[in-house]
Amino acid sequence: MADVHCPMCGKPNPEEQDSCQFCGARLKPLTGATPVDSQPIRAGEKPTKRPTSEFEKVKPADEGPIHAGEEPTRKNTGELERSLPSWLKSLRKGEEPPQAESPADASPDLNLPAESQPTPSAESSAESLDWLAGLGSAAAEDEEEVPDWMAGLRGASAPGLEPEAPTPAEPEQAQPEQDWMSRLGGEAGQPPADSPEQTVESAPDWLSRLSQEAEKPQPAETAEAPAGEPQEEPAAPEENLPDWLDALKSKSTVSEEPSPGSGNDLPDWLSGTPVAPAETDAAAAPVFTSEPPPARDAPTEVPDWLSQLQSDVRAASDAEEQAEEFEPAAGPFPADKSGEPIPDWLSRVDQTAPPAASAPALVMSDEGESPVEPSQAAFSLETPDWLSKLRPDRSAETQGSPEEEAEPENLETADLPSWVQAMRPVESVISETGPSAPDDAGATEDSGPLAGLRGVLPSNPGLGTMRKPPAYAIKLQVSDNQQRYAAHLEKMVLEEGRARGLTPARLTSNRVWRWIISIILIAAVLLPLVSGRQFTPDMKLLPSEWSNTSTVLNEFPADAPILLVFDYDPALSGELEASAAPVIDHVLFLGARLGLVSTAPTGPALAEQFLESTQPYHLETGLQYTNLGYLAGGPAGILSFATDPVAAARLTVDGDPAWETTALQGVSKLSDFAAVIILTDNADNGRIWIEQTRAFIGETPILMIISAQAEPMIRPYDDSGQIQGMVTGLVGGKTYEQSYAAPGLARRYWDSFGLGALAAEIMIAVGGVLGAIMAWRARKQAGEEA
Amino acid sequence: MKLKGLFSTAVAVLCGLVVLAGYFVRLDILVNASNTLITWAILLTAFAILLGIINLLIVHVGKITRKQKGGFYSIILIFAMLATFAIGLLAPHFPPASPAFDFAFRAVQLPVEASLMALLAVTLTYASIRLPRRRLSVFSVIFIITGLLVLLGTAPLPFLGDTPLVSDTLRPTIAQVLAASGARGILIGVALGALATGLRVLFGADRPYGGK
Amino acid sequence: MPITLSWDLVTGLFSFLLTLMVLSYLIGDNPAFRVAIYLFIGVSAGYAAAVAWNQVLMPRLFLPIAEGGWTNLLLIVPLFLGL
Repeated sequence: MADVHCPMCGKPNPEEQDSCQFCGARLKPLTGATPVDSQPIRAGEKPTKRPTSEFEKVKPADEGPIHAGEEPTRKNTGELERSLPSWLKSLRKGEEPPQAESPADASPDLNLPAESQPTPSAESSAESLDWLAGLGSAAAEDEEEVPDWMAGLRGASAPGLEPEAPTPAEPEQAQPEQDWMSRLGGEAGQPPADSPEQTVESAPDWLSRLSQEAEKPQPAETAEAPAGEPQEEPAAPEENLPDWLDALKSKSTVSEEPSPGSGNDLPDWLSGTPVAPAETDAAAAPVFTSEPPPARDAPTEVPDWLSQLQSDVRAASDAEEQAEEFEPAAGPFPADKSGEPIPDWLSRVDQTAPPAASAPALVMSDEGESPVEPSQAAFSLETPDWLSKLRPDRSAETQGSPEEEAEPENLETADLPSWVQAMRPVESVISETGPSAPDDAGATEDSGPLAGLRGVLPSNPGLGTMRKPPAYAIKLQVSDNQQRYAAHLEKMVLEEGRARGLTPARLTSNRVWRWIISIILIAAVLLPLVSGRQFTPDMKLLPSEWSNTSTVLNEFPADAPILLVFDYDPALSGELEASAAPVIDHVLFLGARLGLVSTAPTGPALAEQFLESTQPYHLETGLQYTNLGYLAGGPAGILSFATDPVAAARLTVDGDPAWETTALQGVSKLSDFAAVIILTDNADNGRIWIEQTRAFIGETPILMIISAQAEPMIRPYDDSGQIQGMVTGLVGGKTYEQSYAAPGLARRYWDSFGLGALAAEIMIAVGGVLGAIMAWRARKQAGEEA
Repeated sequence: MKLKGLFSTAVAVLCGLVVLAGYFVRLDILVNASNTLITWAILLTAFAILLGIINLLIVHVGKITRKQKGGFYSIILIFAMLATFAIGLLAPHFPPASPAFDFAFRAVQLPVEASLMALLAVTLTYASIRLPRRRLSVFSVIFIITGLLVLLGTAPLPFLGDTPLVSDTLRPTIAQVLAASGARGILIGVALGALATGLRVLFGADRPYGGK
Repeated sequence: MPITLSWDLVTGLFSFLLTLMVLSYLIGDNPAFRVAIYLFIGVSAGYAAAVAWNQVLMPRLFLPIAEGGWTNLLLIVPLFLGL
């Protein structure tokens, strides 16, 4: 005998059992489209394809309320979409933010039906504490059975929070209640309207007890409604009602008694809601009933989520009055049904007296009934974690209802749940409490998104204080360190100011010394030139390199082409001209032809200047030279000239063909020159010439006439044999002049050079010694003072 | 930007390899290609000079238009520059302009540069005198003594000529041994650095021309 | 003895004047020194530009391009890059 596993608790039950013997859940569904549908698909079987046109044959208009035992037909709920309220349609479009993606994100309105109607999942029945988890699991299991209009809500609502999907066959009259219930659920993100019969049957005990206390008989349509949700139209036969609804009906005329068990089953946050002392007995059980509230003036304690829920229902129903399928949401709570005592918090369900639109929806009118100060309660009560994220949205939804503006005077004092109180704007609470809440001063912050949280909001008396813009102190808040740094900075500035006072005297002293040095040097240089006397003897010690240069030059054949490179700056022209003049004079006396080239823009002019100033004799006797001009590009220009001098310097500085001149006849490449003499004051230029011409120069010797400052860098090339001769500075030119040329420029400079250098040496020596002594004495004095 | 950098890097590496190959492999095609690239580089250098001149002109024109301090000197600079450039352009084609072009060099550039060098001589002398007083240390003393010895060994003494022991021994030792040995080290370092830099440019590791 | 005004004389006088202006810096920074320096910079820049134009760009770029020829037309590349 095969066992049937309970879809709720999963425990095996005999096949003939209609309901689970463990949890009471219905094992055989009451609904089924066709007999074929009722046959379950077993493991290994292929699902049969059924024509869906069968469902179209059933017209919703002909559908009556479903009775027990009848075969439910699938309902074309798509037609009902036209009658959906706009706000509900907007939910389909995903306007509702995904705030209910998880049970923790569920809104308070959402969780009310969920709590009062726990999902009949196995987990929920077995573990009543984990009712939220069971809710999610139950919704996940039957997700595919959700009707179309509910499916539209699914996008906006949390899938995990949807109740168990309804069966296809639902009575026609169930649509209105589905809609208003869906409105509730839609706002909460969890439409509970399509609760199947399993949901009803598997209602937890506390809900069953609640139903037994109901006074008004429930209409048949409420069979499909979640427990506790009223239904206005009593058109359905009573025999179709489930047992628990029958019991609810039977109790509807009986005075409602608080059920202690119901209170025990409530969640903590709900059961912990303070109740007005006068109504404690009646309001202990938050029973959902169709009974109207006894009186508007009765002090009640209604959870604001419930009043808000009702206001939403009313607002939605006003907008849907054209649709006949819908009944006003206020219907379920007729005020004339009974005057029997009902829970106070429930009595306010019928009251439509929220505060004005500009005011917060949840305002406590009577502070005295609250065990704590309202503002303090609003800030001190802790918000459930699963609701904390929803506060802004909930608070926004609770405002602006027209009905709320209508009767603000009907507001009753209520002990709000903590999370509802936390939703209240700060100003409302503060304004209500006024100066009566000084205890919280300093414990909260004044504004911001954290308003409503304990220890965050301020309780400063008076709204003006709350709204007063913060006054920022103009005075700097400085610490001790900053003050110390500032003092140091001030001291430094002062010291700097004092130093400025001494600067002019020091500058004057420096300037005087500079004048003295300048005068001495200029006088030493000018004296030999002005006097015309020679008091400096010639050099007796001849540099070693000059002999190599003269040897190379003496080996030149007559009429040899020589390439002269003028790579020095005009600033050093005096030294270079004096150094090169005797060498060039020697070369020209040997009958050499000159080709002039330069890698500096001023080089061609310097070359002309040099020849005119140092070789006037040769120029007058028919000196043959060709000025090839300026080689641009630095190393690239030198390389280009070394590679192909004819292409690199086609024209002279005058624009004539260079290589057709007499001076350069027979020269087509670098190695055709008899020698390359480089005049430079820059060691890098000399190095580049040596390096770039090495591969193309062949056996042609390279001679260097350099400034004294370039000697250390060029000398290694001379020592290594990469250059064949070198004349260094005025001393080199003077020695060369002594040997191979007539007295010339070097001799003229020689006395000035010697005397000026001597003056500089004396001044440096004397000044340095005196300066060292002064510095030493200053140090000694400083040491003694220290 | 990446494509641009890749392109410029490829061009640089290719040009470098061609020039290098033309330097070592004397094939006509490589030599011609190398010479062509070098010629292009030379021409671009000349363009760079012109660009620098234009930039200088723009800067000083801006100073004049903004009426900044020293605008008068900028006017002098611009006038001298434009006049010299104009005369220089005319000189090869208009012979009377050639002496004016030479004048610009011989009467302005040459004496001013030489005078600046004279200022440098005075300044160095003054700095050498002040050095021991401002910073008395072993290195300062060594610097002063070395400078004095080189001067003594280089320049002749009036009425004496060469300085005994200094001109024939100390000065050559300092200039040809100590300074030259240091210069060798510097030159070797320069050569190695140039080699490494060239290789890095050829490999694209260094992009002095820009690009990432 | 009449003094003949020549380029050499003018050059010498102007050089002497500029030398004094530059050496006046020994007294301190003064307008004469600044004038000499700005004049020197302007002349140097103009001179370098003229030399680069006359001795590099004209004979090695523009004249070959004007002469034509396949090889010379390659010089359009540096001309384009330079511009």
